[in-house]
Amino acid sequence: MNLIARITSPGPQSPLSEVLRVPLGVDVWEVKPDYMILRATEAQLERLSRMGYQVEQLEDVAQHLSAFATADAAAGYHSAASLEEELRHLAEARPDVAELREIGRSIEGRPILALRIGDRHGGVPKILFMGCHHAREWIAVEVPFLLAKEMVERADEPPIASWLSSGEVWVAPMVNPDGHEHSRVEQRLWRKNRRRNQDGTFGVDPNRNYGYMWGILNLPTSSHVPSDETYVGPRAFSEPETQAVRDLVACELFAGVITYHSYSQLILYPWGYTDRPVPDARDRELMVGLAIEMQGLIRGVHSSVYTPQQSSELYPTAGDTTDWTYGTYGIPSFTIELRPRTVQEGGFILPASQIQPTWEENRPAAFRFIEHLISAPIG
Amino acid sequence: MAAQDEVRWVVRLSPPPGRTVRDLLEIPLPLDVWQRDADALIAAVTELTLNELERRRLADVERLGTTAEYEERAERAARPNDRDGER
Repeated sequence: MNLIARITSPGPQSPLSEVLRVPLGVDVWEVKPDYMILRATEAQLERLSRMGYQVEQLEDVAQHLSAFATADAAAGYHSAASLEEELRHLAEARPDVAELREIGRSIEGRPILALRIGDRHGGVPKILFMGCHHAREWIAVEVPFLLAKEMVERADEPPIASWLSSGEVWVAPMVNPDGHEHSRVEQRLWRKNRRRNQDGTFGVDPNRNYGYMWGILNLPTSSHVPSDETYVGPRAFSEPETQAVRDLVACELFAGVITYHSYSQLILYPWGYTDRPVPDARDRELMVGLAIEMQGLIRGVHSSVYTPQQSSELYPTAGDTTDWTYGTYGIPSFTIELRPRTVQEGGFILPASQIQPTWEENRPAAFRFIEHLISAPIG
Repeated sequence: MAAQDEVRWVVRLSPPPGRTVRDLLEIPLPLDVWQRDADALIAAVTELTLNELERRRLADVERLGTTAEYEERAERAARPNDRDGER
């Protein structure tokens, strides 16, 4: 168990500064003249105690992170439970346009939820927005959630009203609820789902588990090693999270997909598995053109630069979401990597104060995508 | 097996002379790639991987800090009273 502890010195014979030189591998959080706060295992704290230091256990790390997560949630980031509650509120507030659907269950039994938004069932075309395949990418929950919220709350206003009278928008903000909760409570930088692998490690990368060109690469960015962050899984669609998306897409036959991730401020289009461009010139021109349009719309809000590029230009990925949606169904498919641009700006840990501006700049891009698909001739 | 307590480092990896960033992506070692710049990768790696990268001169390695340090710094900056704020 990892604990947070306050360490004090009993006297000059055991100076606090020596704790920093002890090769115990403790994680020092705060250093003050008269105490230190650190994260350590029980064994490490026992060792410090035997060395003569006074050790006061404050709380275990899970409790601390949970408290932090609660504070963050209050400031804007959802947990799986609070997301479900808010999506349910939206559906109950406007049952005429919104319906909450459980599209599957995660490894640990959490519901994977999608909000169907449209004022008539079976309206076409349908568009899918997803978020949080990767657990640590918290902003990638908030942007699709805020899209869903705005679409429901402004369902009677143009142009949303006209879109919803002819088509449907589906939003699944948290495809990986187990991983997200693990990131909130245990390991902030957790990426994968919570599958227990055969070798005892945990996690399959949901964004490498889709069935188009699944597993054809074996690289650091698309790995067959279970302990690696980009582990593709034992087979295509081995994970309930990707099965849920697969079954939803197969049932609803969407006209286009955007899946949100963070970070780097990129607008990615297929392919990820190869450097070769998509062979169909019309599809390629459409996706590149839309990506450039979205870039301009995003920049027009807060001057943020999101770069459009083929997904493989970031790094090679086999079995990702948009290779599958485009490769299997031929529909325009984008991965949008949200704020920030660099690790120096926070990387995966984006201040909650940036949720709203991140949504604001992505709103016109999402709306343009909807408008394009709803207005396009069907077939 | 990556244990929860294993120290991981956030590193900037630059290609050695004659190699490219693309070559770094094909290194047969576990790299948790966070960011791709024109001339480098930002990745999280274990101490073991770091030692291999350095020993075999597979990349020029700049240690930016442990992931724990990164989390602590970033979460401190991300607290509601942060001055980062809106752009």
